[in-house]
Amino acid sequence: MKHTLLLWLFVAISGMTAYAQTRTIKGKVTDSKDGAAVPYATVRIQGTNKGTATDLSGNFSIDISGTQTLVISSVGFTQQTVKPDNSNTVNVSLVADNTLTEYIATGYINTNRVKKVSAVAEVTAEKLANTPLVDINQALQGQAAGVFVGGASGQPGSVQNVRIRGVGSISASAAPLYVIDGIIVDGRDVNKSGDLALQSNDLLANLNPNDVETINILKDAAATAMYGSRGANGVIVINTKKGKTGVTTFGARAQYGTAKPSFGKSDLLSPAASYAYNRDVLALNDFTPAEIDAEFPASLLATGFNWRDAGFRTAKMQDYGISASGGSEKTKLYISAGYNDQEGTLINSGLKRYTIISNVSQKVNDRLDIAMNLNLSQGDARSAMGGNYYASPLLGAYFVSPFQSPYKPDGSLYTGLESDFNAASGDNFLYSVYRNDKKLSNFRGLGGATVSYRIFDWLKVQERVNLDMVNTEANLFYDPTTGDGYNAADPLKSGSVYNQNVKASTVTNQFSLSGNFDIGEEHQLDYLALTEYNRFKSRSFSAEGIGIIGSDLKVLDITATPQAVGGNATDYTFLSYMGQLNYSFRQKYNLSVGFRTDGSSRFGANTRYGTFFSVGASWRLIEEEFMKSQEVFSDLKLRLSYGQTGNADFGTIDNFVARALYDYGTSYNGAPGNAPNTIGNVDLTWEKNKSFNIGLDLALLKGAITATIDVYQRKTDGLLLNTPVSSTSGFTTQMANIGSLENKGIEALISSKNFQDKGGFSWTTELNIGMNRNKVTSLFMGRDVAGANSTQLHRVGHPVQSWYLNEWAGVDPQNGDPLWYTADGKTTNNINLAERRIVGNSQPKFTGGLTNTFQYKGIGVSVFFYAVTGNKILNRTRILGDADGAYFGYGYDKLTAENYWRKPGDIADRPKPIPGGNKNANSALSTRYLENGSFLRLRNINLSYSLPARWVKAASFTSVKLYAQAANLATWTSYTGWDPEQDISAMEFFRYPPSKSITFGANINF
Amino acid sequence: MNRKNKIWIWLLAGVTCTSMFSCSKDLQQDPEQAIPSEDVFTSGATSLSALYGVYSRSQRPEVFGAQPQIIADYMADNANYYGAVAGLSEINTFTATPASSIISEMWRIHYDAIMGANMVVEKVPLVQDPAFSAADRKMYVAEGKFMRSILYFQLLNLFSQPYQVDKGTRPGIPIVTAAFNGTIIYTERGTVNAAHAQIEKDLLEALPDLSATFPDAALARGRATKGAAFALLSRLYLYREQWDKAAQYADSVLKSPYYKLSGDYGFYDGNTMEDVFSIQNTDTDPPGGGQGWAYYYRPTSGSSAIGACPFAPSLITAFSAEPNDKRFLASDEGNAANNEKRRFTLKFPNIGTFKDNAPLIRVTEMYLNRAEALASMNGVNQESIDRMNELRRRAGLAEWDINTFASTDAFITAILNERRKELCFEGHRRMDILRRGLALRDNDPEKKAGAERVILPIPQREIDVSPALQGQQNPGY
Repeated sequence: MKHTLLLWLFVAISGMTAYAQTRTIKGKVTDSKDGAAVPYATVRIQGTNKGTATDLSGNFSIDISGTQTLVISSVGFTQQTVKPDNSNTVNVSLVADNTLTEYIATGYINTNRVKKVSAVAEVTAEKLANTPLVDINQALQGQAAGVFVGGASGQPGSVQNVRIRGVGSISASAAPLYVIDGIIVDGRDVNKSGDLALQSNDLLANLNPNDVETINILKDAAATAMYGSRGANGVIVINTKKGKTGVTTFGARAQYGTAKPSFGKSDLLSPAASYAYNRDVLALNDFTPAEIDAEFPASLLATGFNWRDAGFRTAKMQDYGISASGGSEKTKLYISAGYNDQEGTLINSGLKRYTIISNVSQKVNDRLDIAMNLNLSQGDARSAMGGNYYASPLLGAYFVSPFQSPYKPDGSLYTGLESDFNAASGDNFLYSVYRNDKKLSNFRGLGGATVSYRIFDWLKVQERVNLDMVNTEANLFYDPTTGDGYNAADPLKSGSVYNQNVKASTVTNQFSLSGNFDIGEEHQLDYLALTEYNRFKSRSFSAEGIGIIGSDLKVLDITATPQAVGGNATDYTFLSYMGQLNYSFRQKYNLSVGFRTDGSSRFGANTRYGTFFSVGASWRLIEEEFMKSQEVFSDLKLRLSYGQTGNADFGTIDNFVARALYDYGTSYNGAPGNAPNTIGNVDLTWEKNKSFNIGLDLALLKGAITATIDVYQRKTDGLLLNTPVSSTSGFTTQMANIGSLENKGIEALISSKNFQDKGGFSWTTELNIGMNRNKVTSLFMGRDVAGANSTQLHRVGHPVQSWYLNEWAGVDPQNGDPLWYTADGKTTNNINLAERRIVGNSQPKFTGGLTNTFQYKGIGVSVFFYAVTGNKILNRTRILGDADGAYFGYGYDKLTAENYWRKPGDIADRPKPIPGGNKNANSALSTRYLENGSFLRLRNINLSYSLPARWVKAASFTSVKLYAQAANLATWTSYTGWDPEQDISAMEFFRYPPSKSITFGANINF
Repeated sequence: MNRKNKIWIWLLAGVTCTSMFSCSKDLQQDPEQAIPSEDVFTSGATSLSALYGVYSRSQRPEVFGAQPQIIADYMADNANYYGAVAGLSEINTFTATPASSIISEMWRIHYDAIMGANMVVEKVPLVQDPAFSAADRKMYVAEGKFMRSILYFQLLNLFSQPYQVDKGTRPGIPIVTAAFNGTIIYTERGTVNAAHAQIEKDLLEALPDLSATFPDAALARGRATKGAAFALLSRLYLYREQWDKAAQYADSVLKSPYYKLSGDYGFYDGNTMEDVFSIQNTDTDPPGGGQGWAYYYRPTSGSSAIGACPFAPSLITAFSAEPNDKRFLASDEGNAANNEKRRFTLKFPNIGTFKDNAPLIRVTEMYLNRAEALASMNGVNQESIDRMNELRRRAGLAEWDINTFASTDAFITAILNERRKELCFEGHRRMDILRRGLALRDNDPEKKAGAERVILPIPQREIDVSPALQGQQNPGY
């Protein structure tokens, strides 16, 4: 269908286009400052609607008739009008627009690079468009210094952990705040799939990366303090594309590719090797040859089956989109529609996304502007079960005998319930995964209307209303004949249908006054005063029915017995007042002060309002007299900022934790009862973050090398922690603001134009690197706080989420026992007598990205490496797959059979394998499975070819670009698990691995 | 329109828009699935549901859903414990530790229910609801007082030495009667006498306001009534050896028209006149946590009952002294958790949902209380003999007469033996032994009242968080 549509469009457009036979003007548009090419500049014939845009090298070509005049414009530059002479060549040097020099959108207000005082990382559209990734968060990985991105799962659209400048919280959310087109959106998991056998989708997976113009990552207080109590963990400001004045251009894009799972170095032990291993283990454990033959006869080899390969596939991915962008002096518009279908590499998983966006603005008159943004999207995800379910191919591949064929002798599939099916669970995933649905669809409607009226230059009044609606529908279906659906005790209750709907909405209202004062040439003063109201509501409803007689029908009505209904609701409100004042003297000394007062329903009655502030200053040394004589620097700027922000994102903590509450979960003799369920804390408030930043922006060798270097310190106080209280209160813990931690680090972004010759060859390099050190500085009475799981804890003086494990001391050469270190440095074979210590951390010490781009005429090659070092991964997958016989007879990791103890005197890596396990040797609380998580990855290679202009023109297009790219092609790591790319907890447990992909695509503009 | 007017219109429009949405009162946002504590006590109906919440919280395994009750029988000589829960095993072997989560949960959840009761007692009189009658208000408050009495009583019995050790001057438990207002207070342990005094005060205050009964059978037994308060007072005085009052309050129950000895032993979970106060469990609202009385007291059966607590051999011996005791016949054999074939009580048969009611006070106990109290005051006496004979007749045993017993001690020993057989597996045995100065098991002097390990340790986490409990651990822990 979509193919037909595209084809039709192409045909229609080609037929429509006709142009006069006139002369062709060629030219190049450059930046007056450094002579760099200005790509995507609009070249329009004055008085007509005809025009074109410059290519990546700033070149353009346009046909004009007679003496027509060209108007050349680009965002951030002053528009120029040129009358081509007889040479038919026009080279235009655009001058930066002083009022809008390379503006940086920070949500509420735009600043520019010259005047900026804050640490902001920018990721531009070119880096986001055409990536084979569903989620913008993923596309940020390695693209901005100091930003960590790690997915909870490799499933397309899965939730991504983003951490800016380290982990800033223990119990509350440490994720950044998201702002889309100037509006704060709720970034938490609204799918509420925590209890369901499926994975939540990242909300940003609903946004089409091709519709994004820029992403700015606000890192220091000077930038984040505008978001007050919500800015502590950084802010990600996403701006969707807007129309530009000029001729309306149409774009069409198509992308197709395939992906395979990235298994890293790991593999399952082959059936033949498992056969040999199993027999050897029995022999080691004094089984007689006859017993061994009876247990593992050679005939098993005939039914050997690679279950892991069967659980994965080569996944197809495709992406299509059309867009139109353009506008007149009065009206600007950008509209786009996209379709993305990304299969997961795990069987029967994937995401389909449909997006429509429309951004329209109208300049009604000199003073009145109106604008409307509308962004509709639907994402339909399908899971093949979360990783740690037996019925999941991820875990299932290990919990079935490698000699168990999925097929019965008659060729039909085992359901897994048969008594002769040799698996730990009654489930054959090749049967059940296709029958049991795990579907999750997210509809998101994000829209806003803005009216602004400029009364004087110094007073613009703006009113803005925004609505963000997310409707989530989870549908689980268990076929009655599958292991998960069958009810052995009561077969009539087999099979179930579970539906859950969650409806979340955020209404935001902003009213602002802004303007700038004209006080002479040398002074620039502008301000913003704003009030914002932000209300979030969420409602959910769920129902389950059981009792299905085999059928393809999957609605609740077909079930025999209603099983459960549920529903819940939650809300929060923020009311804020914000002000910012920016002053610039000769654009040399820049000062910015801001404050924000936030009130939130989440906080205790005594501490409902908080005020946050920031001060930032920058000094453009390059403008100083003493810099005039030097030629090394072409730009040099020093930035300083300090401010306080808060973290009011309670994450998974209830919105009403500050209130003393009764709940209705307690009935008595059939009558409803209520009882205290939340202790409350009238003093509960946000986590406080004080951050200090020194930055340097510099350009060397006439801009050939530019660098941005930041050094920061973030101190977070008043961490939300559950503190123990006397249970004579009826409660054991109370949420309180206690504890503190610190992040400090260095970030650098270096861009270099290594080479550029007249023939059109250029080579540029961009390197970003971030180093962060994290430390807990105080906790309630100095006591350790348990981590999210038993293998991690938070301890004063150590990073958050430190691994807290028994130290593995290897294998006893005498008897093959596992050994761990005790407190006195001796070894023991009893893990309970060993000493648990802090042995590393799940957070990376360094993250970085390196991109080299080569351009020659229409050909471009870009090579992007991504690296993470210093983190440790707990590879819990090996607890089951490399367990010295603990899961004897099922699938093994290939490491299992390497260097295990066989006889006294053996210096072995693995203890003596014993069916049923050897003395807790596979305990997760041991450094045996803790591995170095450092890796270097060839994240992306992109090869593109822009068709020569004359071919393109012959086909009536303005540009045609073909590209091919390979993602995650190669990885260098010592990690033995599936893939070293982890989320922030770095706990591998049958995690859906990321994929390697190759995609091909075409972008056509006309 | 001139320019100035335009400005004003725009400003006005903007401010109106903002104020339309932006109400700072929205910051006082109420949750939708829970009620702010201050809004609970606003009507008669909400007050009643808060009262029901107290009963409901008392259903739980850690309160009256059998954990403290099985402990009372297996720490003594009625039952054994073979379950897999380390915390309960340690209590069985008298090796419990202050770090035990079983013990700290038992402690906490008692206080959790008590806090609900404190709220009812303090807040119900303040409810502004003209439709809420004065009688109902007083009754709810009285029920709240009864509930915190029975909860404190059970907690005291677990964590403090009986009154008989140093006349009740040993450390008691923290008694909190004020409604929790958000500020954590740290209360000292006080003495056993102080705890008893609070329980007595609450019960005496509650008595006039409690209902005599309720039309609904389940509520007549499942809510606190005058009869329940009389009965609990009788038990309190019996434990304190105030024999006259123990006898007097037992008689108040016996004379009440609402209670009568059942003809046979089919009354369990029946809400008959046999029951004075039973916490009500139902199929849809059992104690919770996958536990309940039958969970421990029935033999292993697939995934439901676990066969943790069979008859102790000593109890079988006690029954075998007089064969054909109908109470013994209400038992059968099955697999215990240790895979031995053992004898189990049939008092709590429901292994489906564990919905058996918790028989906290039965009229039978009043017969026993009165008989024992009178005997303690007057020696062998006809009324005690008569009361005991009513129980023995029902059990199918030979009746006693005034000449059966040569001494008061022999008589009291016999009454206690009847009490043991009558109330076994209902959570009485441990205190009945301790208050009489006997050994919980095998005449072991280390298992008598006053010995360190006959009571449970104060949970370590409570001592850690409460300055008032520092150094207040029970000796020996």
